[in-house]
Amino acid sequence: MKKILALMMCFGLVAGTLAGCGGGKAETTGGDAAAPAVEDTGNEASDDEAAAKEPAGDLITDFGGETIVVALYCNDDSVPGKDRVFGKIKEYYLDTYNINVEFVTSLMGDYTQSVNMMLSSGEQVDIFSSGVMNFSNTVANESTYDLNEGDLLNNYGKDIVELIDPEFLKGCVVNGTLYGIPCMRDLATGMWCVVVDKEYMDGIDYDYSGINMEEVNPATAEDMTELFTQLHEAYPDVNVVYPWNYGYLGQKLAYDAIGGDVFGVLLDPSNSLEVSNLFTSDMFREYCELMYEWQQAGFMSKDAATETQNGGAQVIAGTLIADTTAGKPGIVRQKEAERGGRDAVVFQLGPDFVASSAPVGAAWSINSTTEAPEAAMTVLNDLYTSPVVTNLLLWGEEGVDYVLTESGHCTFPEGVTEQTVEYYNLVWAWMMPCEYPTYVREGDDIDLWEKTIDFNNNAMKSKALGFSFDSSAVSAEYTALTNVWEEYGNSLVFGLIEPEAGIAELNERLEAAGLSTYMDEKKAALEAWAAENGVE
Amino acid sequence: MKQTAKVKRDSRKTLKLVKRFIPVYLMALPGIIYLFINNYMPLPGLVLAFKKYSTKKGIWGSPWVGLKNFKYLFRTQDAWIITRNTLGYNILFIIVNVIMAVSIAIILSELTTRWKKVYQSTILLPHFLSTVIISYLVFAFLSSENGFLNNSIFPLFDKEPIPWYTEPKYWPFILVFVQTWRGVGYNCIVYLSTILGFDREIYEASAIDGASKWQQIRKITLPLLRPTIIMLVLLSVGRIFYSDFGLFYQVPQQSGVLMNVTQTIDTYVYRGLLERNDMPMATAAGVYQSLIGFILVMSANLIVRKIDPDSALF
Repeated sequence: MKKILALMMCFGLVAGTLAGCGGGKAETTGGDAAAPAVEDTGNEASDDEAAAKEPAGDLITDFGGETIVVALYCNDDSVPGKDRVFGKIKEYYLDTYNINVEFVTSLMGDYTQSVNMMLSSGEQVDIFSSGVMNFSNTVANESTYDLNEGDLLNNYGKDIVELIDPEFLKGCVVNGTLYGIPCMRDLATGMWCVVVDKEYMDGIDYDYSGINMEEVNPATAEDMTELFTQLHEAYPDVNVVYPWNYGYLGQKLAYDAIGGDVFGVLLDPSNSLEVSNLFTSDMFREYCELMYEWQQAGFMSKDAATETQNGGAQVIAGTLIADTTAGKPGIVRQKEAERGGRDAVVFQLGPDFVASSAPVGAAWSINSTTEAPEAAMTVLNDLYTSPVVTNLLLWGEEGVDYVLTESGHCTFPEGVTEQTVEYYNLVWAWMMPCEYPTYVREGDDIDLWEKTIDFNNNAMKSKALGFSFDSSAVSAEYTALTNVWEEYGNSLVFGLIEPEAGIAELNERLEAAGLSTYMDEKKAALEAWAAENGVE
Repeated sequence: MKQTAKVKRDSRKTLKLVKRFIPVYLMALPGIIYLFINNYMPLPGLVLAFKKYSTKKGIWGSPWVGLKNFKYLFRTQDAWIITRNTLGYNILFIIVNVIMAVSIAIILSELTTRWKKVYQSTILLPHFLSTVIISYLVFAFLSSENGFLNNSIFPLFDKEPIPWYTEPKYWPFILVFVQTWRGVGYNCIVYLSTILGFDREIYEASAIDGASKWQQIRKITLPLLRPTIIMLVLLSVGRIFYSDFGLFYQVPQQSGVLMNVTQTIDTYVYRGLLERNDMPMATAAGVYQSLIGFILVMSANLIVRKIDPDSALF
């Protein structure tokens, strides 16, 4: 009898489990106290839901086995321990709220497409990252649920309200409606960081006095040119610097690409709401000139524009000395990990800055067609704030996949390594809705997350924080402008063409593609937004 | 073929014929079902090109917006460049491919060596390579720093290295070369099998009359091959408004400077919509391409029917 029951539960689970999620280890959940509800997985849960819903006004605490599907984007979705750990998370939600949580996973690169497919085909998905899928577009497609409807966030997302600075939450408001919850991680960016491999610096007998090996060191462009000149003399066969492609320009220059694109930006974002053309600015010209100088001096590869390997891989391959990055607390260790454990020194040439699009960058939303918004909000609440859920998701099961050291760090259990552990790297901390409740990995500062929160709070903030732009009225211009920028972007940021002529030509082409029309539209939207929100 | 030709078209006979071929129809069924599911069922989705899409309301419930989604395809001077590149390259590909494939097929058919199979397989091999791999093979030749041409070949002739990925003028040739190198093996199989099906007696008779090899090729092989050539060309004309995305996106290593000569409709739509992932606009591009393709096939077929009714597709 027990066997048949288990089989039935198993079947129910498998049927309710969506493609890619796999229900192979479902028995582990089927065996516990919450089992009767499990049989109702799938789409037939509505009866139970009706029964479980208490009269309006009271908050629901037992969701009657409602199924909520969460679409996660991850780093490696073939981790062997995945089903086991998801089973544990499911168990937690069943025990606490009687909600049956299913996960679907896809790799970062496939995420937009697979979630879009689920949204348009009507397949059940209740929680997804609208930020990763381009927030304003997701909102324009009416895929996101109004989180203030029926006071949803205040009733079922209490901990989120407590956790998130209203300033950041405001970033996900479009036309007065809250459509998402910002991902809680480093929202500020340490602009213009240069990561230099230490081995080469040793080779030129660099004077390390005053250099902090654990954190970023402030520096100027002149310092870098000087350092690179020495490095180039000592290692003429190795490329000195790879500043990444034009898509990463926003990690270097502290303009605010309001509305999520570079066509019409705020050049002085903390003081002024004036929309300007980035490409005629001194900031942009000076940057291109510096890159041209570096290219002429031989610091950069002539093939940089067609480079497909990232900076870390080039350093490991021995063809590169330094690359650039966005700074944040713990960046040195992260970059060293990317470089196979090679020591690095990080310099920062710009300020710390929160762009207006940072809060929506990886925001999480509830599907507008969800049948159980209350349950979805409850699940999302714990995905942000529960140490149990977040640590399961990031590290797996305690004692099996990780153990805590005396200092409270997280490390692999004895006899298990990064290669042999069953659950590791499914997601990075920054891929989760919120990284703050998780344990810190051994080697990192134990107060890494406190530092991250301070980093966010102390950074220079854009005045347009909370502005979002629906470009669908000027989508023709947008497509044309994107193509022009792609045509010239890499040539300019890798110093492959003479800046003066190149920038002039770029601006000419952008004008022809409708830059002024596009900027006018953006300006009008920003003014309307500023008036509505009382921003001067 | 002979059997069906004998049958007169009265209904009783037709029924009998259908009965007789039931097993054949059954064999075709999976293919027909596949064709229906894959090519016909998504057709209603084309309405998306005329709508403002909302996942909440679904495809049918979304509001109509007329031709707004098509606007971006014609918005700027880029419209001319992408159309020129798409059509120009495809026309070049068709011409070069036909000439090369037919020549190679004829050469292969005339060969008597036992290495014939090896040659044929070698020519066919590139067809099975993924475009990503091909793009790196090309890169291995052309890279400025480590490329084979700049580092090994040019120094032998005291030639200066050429920065291939920043010089647009070479790319029309490179792209045609790569496309032909990859596609010719596959195309020539069709021609080769047709040639091998020709009646050898004609060739023997002409040989007795003293025809040279060259005369045989010109007077016998090519005229017999004409319907096949026309059919294959017509089929490629239908896809003349589509470009081989991998070839134009991957092989130039997405180098911006080259865009003037490498940007086609497909890469333009991809680059422009990658960030926004706007389904109606992408659908609009698809509708536009298939519409033009349909018109071109119909008119090309019409012209062929005027000149040579036997070779027309329909």
